[in-house]
Amino acid sequence: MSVIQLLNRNYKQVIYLCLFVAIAIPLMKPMGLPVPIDQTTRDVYNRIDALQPGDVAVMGSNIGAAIYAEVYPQYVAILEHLFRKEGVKVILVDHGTEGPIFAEKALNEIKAYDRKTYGVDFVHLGYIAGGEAAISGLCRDLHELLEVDYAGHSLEDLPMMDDINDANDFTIVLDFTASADSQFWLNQAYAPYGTEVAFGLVAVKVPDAFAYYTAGQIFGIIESLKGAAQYEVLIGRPGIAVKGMDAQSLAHLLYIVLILLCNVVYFHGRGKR
Amino acid sequence: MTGVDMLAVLISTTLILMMYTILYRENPAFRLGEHIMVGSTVGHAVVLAVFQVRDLAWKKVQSGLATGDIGGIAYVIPMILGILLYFQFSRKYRHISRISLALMLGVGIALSIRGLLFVNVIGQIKGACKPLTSIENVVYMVGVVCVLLYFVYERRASKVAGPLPKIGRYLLMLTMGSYFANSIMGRVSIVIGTLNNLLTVPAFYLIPVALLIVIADALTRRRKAAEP
Repeated sequence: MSVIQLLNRNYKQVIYLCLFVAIAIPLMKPMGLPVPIDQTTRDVYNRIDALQPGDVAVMGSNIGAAIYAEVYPQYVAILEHLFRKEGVKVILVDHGTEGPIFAEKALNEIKAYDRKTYGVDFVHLGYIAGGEAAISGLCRDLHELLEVDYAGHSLEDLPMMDDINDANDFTIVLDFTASADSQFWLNQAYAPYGTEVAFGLVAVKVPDAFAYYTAGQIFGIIESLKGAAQYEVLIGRPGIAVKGMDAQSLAHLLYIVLILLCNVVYFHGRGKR
Repeated sequence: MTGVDMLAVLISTTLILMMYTILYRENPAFRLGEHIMVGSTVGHAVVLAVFQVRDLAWKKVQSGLATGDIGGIAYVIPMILGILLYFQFSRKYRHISRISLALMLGVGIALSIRGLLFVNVIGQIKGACKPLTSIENVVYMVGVVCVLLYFVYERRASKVAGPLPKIGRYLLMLTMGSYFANSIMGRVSIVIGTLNNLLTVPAFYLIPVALLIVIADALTRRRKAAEP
């Protein structure tokens, strides 16, 4: 059997196995490849780093099982950074039904409840149904829309919420999503109130968001696992994303080799015809 | 790690491995995992939706009834409109559900239109008009013009534009390539996230078990196929 005949066979399972090996080895034994920082990520870092005591950061989330691997590490890294900023108040709000699970997981992962006081330094509002209408209500009058937080505490009993009424009181909004929620925040917070907005996105949504970034409508983008890794490096807390970048690089190398092999077979076959 | 945590990890790992068996072939373990995932997601969403109705509407109606506040009692209207949506399932009364649908669409469009115009039209035009002070800005401007010219289908205008629409087409193809490459990067990230969970103890021990089951199945199938 010639090499070309060998390559022409259906190797679906073998390719999956190669991918598994290419990803598993660096995960078990990280190679420590350098992680260059993109300007989009650095802009988010610089803006959060410049927050002053009393500023309010809203973290919108639509994280679910489908985008967990890409967006959750970004969410944790940014939450950690916000929690390091003294006096900065953090509001977590979810637009997806699975969002509250991952928001609580992230809060527990950075030991938020031990580090800061719930209701004074941060609040988790939970899931709000209604898509853009819900975000609009949140930006227009938070207390009119909601009476209780995720755990069922009345917002009146949470001291932090006394001075936060609408999007004029939000200093920045960071939205973590794979869907149109990011656009909703631009429509409802940035356009009418001028609130600064940034996105944490899955890779496939990033080209869309660049149009807003280059137009100066958002102040930064965290791009998929790559952006999460960059943010982990910036805050000096390497985690799963940094570890995953070695695997990402090896997997891409494998793809390039496979594409080259496919082209060799294709052009060889065309030459014969 | 507590016993409950360990059990949770083992269950989630088993489900992940069941889903990954599709890479080998279509099988009942994959279908079971798929149904569990869909069922649990829908179940969770339904519970949250019920809580939403309770917190955002029902409690306000109750307090409105208790205090005589008309604003609170008015929350009964969206609840009725929500119920009307279920007429979608009746062939005879389906038209009733359109009242709620029309209202939802109207509110949705009205809410988004003010922001959309500002963000996607005015903001984008303002963003595209950059001072030509750097190579990046020049390339950006040329790109915008070329891509816009590509969508001008008037023949005489296309002739005047010369090769610019073609450059616009190549730029569009580059953008599509960027979308595709990002999509691949995203898929790899998902596998990395999943494998990172699988490659930690005790989840790790389930991988050889799953592999043995797959190998046993492959051997059984080969033997069966060889039988006359």
